[in-house]
Amino acid sequence: MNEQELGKEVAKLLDCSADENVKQSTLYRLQSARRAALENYQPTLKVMDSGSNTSILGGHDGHFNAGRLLLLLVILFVFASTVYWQFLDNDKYAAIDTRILADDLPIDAYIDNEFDEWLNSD
Amino acid sequence: MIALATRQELSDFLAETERRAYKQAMFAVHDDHAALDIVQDSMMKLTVKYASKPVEELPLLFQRILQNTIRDYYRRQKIRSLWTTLFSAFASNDQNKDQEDFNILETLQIKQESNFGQDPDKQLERSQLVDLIERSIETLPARQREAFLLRYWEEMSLAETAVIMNCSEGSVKTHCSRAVHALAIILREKGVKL
Repeated sequence: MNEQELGKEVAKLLDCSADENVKQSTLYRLQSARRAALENYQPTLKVMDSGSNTSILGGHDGHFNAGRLLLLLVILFVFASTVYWQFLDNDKYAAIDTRILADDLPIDAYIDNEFDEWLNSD
Repeated sequence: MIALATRQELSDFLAETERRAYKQAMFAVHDDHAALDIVQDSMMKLTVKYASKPVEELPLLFQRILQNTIRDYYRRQKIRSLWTTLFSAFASNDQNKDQEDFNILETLQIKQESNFGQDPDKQLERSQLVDLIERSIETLPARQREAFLLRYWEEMSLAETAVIMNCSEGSVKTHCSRAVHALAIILREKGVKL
């Protein structure tokens, strides 16, 4: 008996085993598993208009769009935060500049850490 | 025009495949509950993700999902057994059954069932033969078993089997050949002639 024949003989016996040797309780569980799986059956195709009286098939892409939208929002938020903090820093140094020019620098500015920071900022 | 699988076709396909899928999972994991979970997971993944596929593609897709789910189970078992080994010196070795040196033939038992209307001797003989073959298949290394079952039981082509197993067609041939030779040796040793 060659390899193919032996393989097929074994397969036949396995078929018999699958038909006869599976417990009834297991068959019930397989049946209920199948039913549970089929409850999730939703054909995902929808027809989309692609113009010129033609249509193309496409799947649900809601999750993908939601993900992209979320990513875009995060990027926008990070960008806006960065710009805002830079603006605040500039505004702080501008206020010190103005006071020095007006010779109106309060004495506590000299003991303030931010004043040293401003001196080093050049 | 693409003929998509209807709910009824999908149901028929699963009904026809579920027993073999369960047996395949049993050969791989040796645990009734785990095998049922694997088949249920595979069915669920097929209906949720591939319901829009043509009916002809379902066997290949389902087998691919099933084999991947079995591999996932192996991975989880490996991690679990690693932690068990690390934290307990008394861990049992039950989870290493899939190793090649495990000889399940030593646990062979004769079934006590009998069917009316058939020669009891022949019935018993066939039942023992089926048991022997099932247990022999369980002793095969995972990749050899996978290749053998896909090629000869599921009647997949070399190319399809290679896709499912994520290897070359040459590797599939090698795995199949080794599996058949190993089975032939076991059957010969037990004095069985098919």
